[in-house]
Amino acid sequence: MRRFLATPLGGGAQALAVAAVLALVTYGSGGLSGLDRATVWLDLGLFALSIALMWGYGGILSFGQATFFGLGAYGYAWLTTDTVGMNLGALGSLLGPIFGLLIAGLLALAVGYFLIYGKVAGAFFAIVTMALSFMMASLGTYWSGVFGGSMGISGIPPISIPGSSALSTRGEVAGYVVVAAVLVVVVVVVRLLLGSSFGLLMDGVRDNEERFLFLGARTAQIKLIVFVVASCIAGLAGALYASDARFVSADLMGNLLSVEAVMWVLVGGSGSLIGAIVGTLAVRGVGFWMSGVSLDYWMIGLGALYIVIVMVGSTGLAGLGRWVMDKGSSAAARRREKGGRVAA
Amino acid sequence: MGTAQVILLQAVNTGAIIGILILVSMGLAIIYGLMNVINLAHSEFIMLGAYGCVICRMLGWPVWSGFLVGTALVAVLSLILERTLIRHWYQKPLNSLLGSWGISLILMQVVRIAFGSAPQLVPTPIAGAFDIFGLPIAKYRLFVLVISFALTGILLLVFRYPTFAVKTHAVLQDAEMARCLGIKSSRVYAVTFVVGGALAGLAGTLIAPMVTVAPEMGAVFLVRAFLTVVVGGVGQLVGVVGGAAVIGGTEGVVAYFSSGVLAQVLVLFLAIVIIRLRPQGLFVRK
Repeated sequence: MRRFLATPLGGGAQALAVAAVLALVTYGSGGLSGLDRATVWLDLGLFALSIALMWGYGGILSFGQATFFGLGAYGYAWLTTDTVGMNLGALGSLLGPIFGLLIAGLLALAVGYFLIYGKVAGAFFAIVTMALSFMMASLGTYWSGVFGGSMGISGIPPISIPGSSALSTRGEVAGYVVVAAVLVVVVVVVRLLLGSSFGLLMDGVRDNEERFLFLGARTAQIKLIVFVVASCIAGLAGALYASDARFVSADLMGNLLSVEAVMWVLVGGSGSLIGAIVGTLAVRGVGFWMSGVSLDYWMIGLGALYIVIVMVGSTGLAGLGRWVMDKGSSAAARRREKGGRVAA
Repeated sequence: MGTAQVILLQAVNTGAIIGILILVSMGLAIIYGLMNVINLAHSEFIMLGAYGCVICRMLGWPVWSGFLVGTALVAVLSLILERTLIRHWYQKPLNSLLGSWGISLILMQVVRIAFGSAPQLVPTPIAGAFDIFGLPIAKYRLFVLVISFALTGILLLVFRYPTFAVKTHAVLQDAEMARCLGIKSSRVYAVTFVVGGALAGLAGTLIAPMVTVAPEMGAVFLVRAFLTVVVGGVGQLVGVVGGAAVIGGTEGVVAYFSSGVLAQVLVLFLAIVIIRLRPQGLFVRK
């Protein structure tokens, strides 16, 4: 069983199980509007997964990934609304996710080339990407002709799949199925990538970049590929988000989302793809419940959560899950779990 | 107005921006240089400094008292934060990034609950303008320019002052060995963090009359300061001054010809290109 869960298909199965449980819980408690909310959370989970890949496996921490998520969302919006005169209608809604993925990847390639070949790493990479995210958000607020300004772009249509309206009136069910399917496919593909020889190189560069440089590996190139691939996934997640939330604004590229997403990964346990998805659902779920009580105090709670997670240095929900599975076995495994501190 | 006069006017404005930027970046750089801590709550220190002025206005105290109250408020807060939280994150830059972001969120939200999200008004302590060559130069901007550059000079000297410099350098190179030699490293850390925080607070009080004072006002200054430190290079405080001149100067000039937002974006891309060409920073020798 455990051996199966570690395989690419096992990862896909886990993602499918998470999506199925989420659908049951939200549909059961909130009906179609609950499912609509859950769809957006799942989009964000895909976004968190891209950060888990880049940080946990590639060793690159970015505090600005919302730039690429937001850009992907705008990519979808540009192809399906009249904002920039590229409205392709139903075809646009099908091409939108691919377009979002591509433009996010192109920006990541341009920025990543300068930063990674400029030997910006670690905390400095985080702050420069944070600056990028901040600037893109202010540019989006300012440039209303392209980004919709402070009003954003509304009235974005969902992905139009023939016959999807038969399932539910506004396409909630179809939207959910699309995101869940994409999520499963991405998990399988990423797991395949991690298991390939490139995945081994990634591991090596993360653990000891200098040694791999001496061994003749083009470490900067490897890191750039990881950064671009993760940003493409973020862009795809953003495009799906736009199709589900039906509204995009410059905030989607901003700092708040950038850093919150890093926390989802931390809550899930950095270094776990499924953990990142579960972490997102947990934080967003608690946030939704809390903001019904008081939005003001939820922000303070969110801040406190960052401090607690960093202080405790936990391995997140994934660590908890593995611990439960290991409970019967050796204590050495547990010590290893505790050794993997936050951002060590 | 002639061209020469426009240039002079802009020079004073841009000089004031650069001066503020130096104060903010200096705090960020010494905290990073000594403790390897990147403090994202630095932007909220600026904001709280400005709200110090708001509090003084509400209490009906003289406008000048804002400088003192704002700076003192931030200094005390940074001491508390350093003793309780920050000291756990020394030499762990990534932990400090995440943890201090949490502090930043909390501070911002507390201010939002206490004062509301609406922008606050802070009166200018010195109204009016000097008449230089028939040009109206705002007295307050000139004041900011002079004060910030004077402080920068003092700071550069202090960090060369034998006992202080030797102690900080000793702690910087080997905290444990410094402790064995009788230097209280934890006190050096605390003093440095409070000085860095107080500089941000002071910068906040200085800009309060010139900008919109609101809970999220700090971010834009923090981003600029990051770019300043990255472009100028860490290692030397002189690098910060140079970096501030490049970042603040470019932004001031571009903002004059187009808009503030475009200037910000252009500065970011300039910084990214500079990083590629000179990874060690513009003003640090290899």
